Amino acid sequence: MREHDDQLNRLLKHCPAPEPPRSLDARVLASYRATTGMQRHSRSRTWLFIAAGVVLMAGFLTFQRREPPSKTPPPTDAVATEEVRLTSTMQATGFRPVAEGAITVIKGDQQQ
Amino acid sequence: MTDEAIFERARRGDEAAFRTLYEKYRGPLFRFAWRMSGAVETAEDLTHDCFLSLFSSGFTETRGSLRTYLFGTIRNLARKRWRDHGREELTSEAADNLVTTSGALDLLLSKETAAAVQSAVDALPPLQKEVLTLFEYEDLPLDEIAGITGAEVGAVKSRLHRARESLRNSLARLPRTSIPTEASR
Repeated sequence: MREHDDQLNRLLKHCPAPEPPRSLDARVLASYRATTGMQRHSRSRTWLFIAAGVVLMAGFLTFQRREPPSKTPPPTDAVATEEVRLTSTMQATGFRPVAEGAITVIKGDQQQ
Repeated sequence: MTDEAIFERARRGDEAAFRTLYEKYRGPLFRFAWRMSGAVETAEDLTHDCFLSLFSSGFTETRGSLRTYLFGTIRNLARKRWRDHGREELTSEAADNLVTTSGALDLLLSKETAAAVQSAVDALPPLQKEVLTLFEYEDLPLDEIAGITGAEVGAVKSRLHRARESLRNSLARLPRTSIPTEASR
């Protein structure tokens, strides 16, 4: 592609460009530091958000596991009152609590 | 180590790696911007913005080589500036640089001849001028110039041929004594 035109090539090569000024170096370096500094800051902020999310999630899961697995409602006062009333009826018909230490243990196959 | 590997280190905050890249490309990018814009201040701004773009937008190897990316970026910035502001006139300070930056005066063209060459290059249409600048001054291969300009290699060849033809016509009027000889290079 280099055409055989030495005269033109010499003319072009003898037309040098100026050197970049030193002020450019300082500007570019400052911009580089600002850009990479911001990116580092941004990256650390992202990790902070991720860590906070993980901690929140772990806390939530732990809280969930402490909840009772059964959804059965606790006995109400009305039921408790009924039990007390039935017990007192049974005592009235002759059942007495045995004296302390007077318990006889009967095996299942010896009943009746 | 490749430019792309150095860039990866620079992106992670390795300032020494960044300085290596910067020292390698500051001159070529600035010269290209100066030839496209014609003003030192504009070339400085374009070179700065080009490096800024490299680290803010994020170069990846899927976009080609780092050199192609950098030249492509500064080329686009220069074209945008051209559209927004028009081209600055070559300042007298810049014209002085044509002569004074390359060493002993006896090896150089006269200031008038250098200015005439610069003026002829400036007068080229932008698409021809960028191809000529990248090929003649930065010694980039045609396929890479095609990558930078987003054109086919055939179109690059054609633009280069037309640019050289225009320059021959423009510079034909120069007196032969002002044309440098091989010994003066």
